[in-house]
This record gives sequence, structure tokens and C-alpha cells, in this order.
Amino acid sequence: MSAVLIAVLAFACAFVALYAQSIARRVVALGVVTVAVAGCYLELGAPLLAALQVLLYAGGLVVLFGLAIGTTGGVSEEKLGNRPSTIVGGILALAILLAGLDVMPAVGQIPLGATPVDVDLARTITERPIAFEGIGLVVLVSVIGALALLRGRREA
Amino acid sequence: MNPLHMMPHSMTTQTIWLLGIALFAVGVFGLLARGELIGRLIAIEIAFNGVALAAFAALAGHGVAGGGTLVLFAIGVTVSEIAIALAVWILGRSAGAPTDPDQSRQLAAQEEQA
Repeated sequence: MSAVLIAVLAFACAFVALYAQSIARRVVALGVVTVAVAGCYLELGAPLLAALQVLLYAGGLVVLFGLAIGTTGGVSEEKLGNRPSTIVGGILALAILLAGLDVMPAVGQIPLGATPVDVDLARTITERPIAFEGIGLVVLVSVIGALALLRGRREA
Repeated sequence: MNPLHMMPHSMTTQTIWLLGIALFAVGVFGLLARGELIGRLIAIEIAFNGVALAAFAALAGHGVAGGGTLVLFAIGVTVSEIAIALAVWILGRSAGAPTDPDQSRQLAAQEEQA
């Protein structure tokens, strides 16, 4: 039952993240979506991945969004649906949903938490630390790149 | 028909797959419907979360124990991408550029013509 609640929460907050006019509310809703997705990983039997999702997304990315908005003083609030591409987006979203429903029977129907599925992740971290460190290196390089961009702005 | 009767009695990997696909669809819709860059970035994040969840559920549904590593690598790449995109957004904001990428493109075209 908790998985159903998590799924409903994730879906509802995804809509809030798109429809809310206030940018702060949208960022908070995005945070809730990421935490709800982490809950889904937990229900699937992957606690390590759930922890990493919360750390990297809710703890890192959403805070980064908040800081960026705080630094720049927010953005002009725009109503959803004022663009011509909204109809195309709606049709595309519907097509994706229908395709997903069509493919769904091919996805195995295993009850949640029946098998531990993040054993491979723990093995990657312990047996292949260089690959795991590689992810950290990619993130580090991008953060340095972002800081270099912002430093250029300050000097200009 | 009562929609509650369509709800599965026990959640399975298929249900999580469906949630992932629904999140991806919402993200794609937001990407096309939202104008300003920050809204599009949020939509990309939602879409990515959906894809990662769907991929993980599909692999778990087939008993493949490789989904965790795949999702972790993908999360790393997305975090990097958003860090750079937010830096570019802050730069654009402080330079007074429009927050809508389409408007920026139009402005650049007008400047080229002038």
C-alpha cells in the first residue's frame, strides 16, 4: 500500500512541478518527486540506490536549484499552456504513455522487494572502485567547469 | 467502472514501470510546454527520473542485477549536466538575457540581421 501512496505522490508532485506558477514551489515539488522515486527504489529492494538518489538529487541538485534561484532573484512567472508547442507536448506525452502501456506486459511481474536487486551496485563500489570514482570525477569536473563559468562572469 | 478496481492488489515491477513511463511523459510535456530555461530543466529532471525508474524496474522484472550501476552512472551524468546548465542560466540572467531560449534565439537572429 505504501508503494501506491508513493507512486501517487510522485505523479501528483510532477504535475505541481510543471503547473505551479511560483518557481520556489516547483523546485520543492521536484524535491518531493525525487524523494518519492527514491522510495520506489526502496520498495523495489534497492536501499543503496535509494540513499544515493536522496543524496545526489534531493540533497544536491534541488539545493543547487534553490541556490541558483536565490542568487538570481527568481524568474518571471509564466502560465503553462501559452505556447503553441503545448499541444505537441500533450500528444507526445499521450503517445509515450500508450507505448509504455503496450510494452508493459513484456516487463516481468515480480512483487516488490522479492529479491535484493542492488547487490550489483554494492559489488561495483567494492570490486570496481575506479569505475565508481569515475562517476565522482565526472561530477567534480562539471562542478569545476560551472565555477569557472561563474568566475568569468564575476571578472567581466 | 470504478477506477479503484483497476488498481493492482499487489504492487509489482510492472506498476513501477508504469509510474516511470508516466513521469517521463509528464517531463516531455513540460519540456515542450514550458518556456523559460529553469522550467525546462525541471521538466528534464522529471523525465530523467522517470526513465531511470522505468529502466530499473524493467531490469529488476527480468531478474537482471545491473540496474543499480546503470542508474547510478546516469544520475552522475545528469547531475553534471544540470550543474553546467544552471551556471549558464545564472550567467544569462546576470547579463540580462531572456530566460526563454526561444526568445534568446530570436534576439540572436535579429542581432545578426542588424
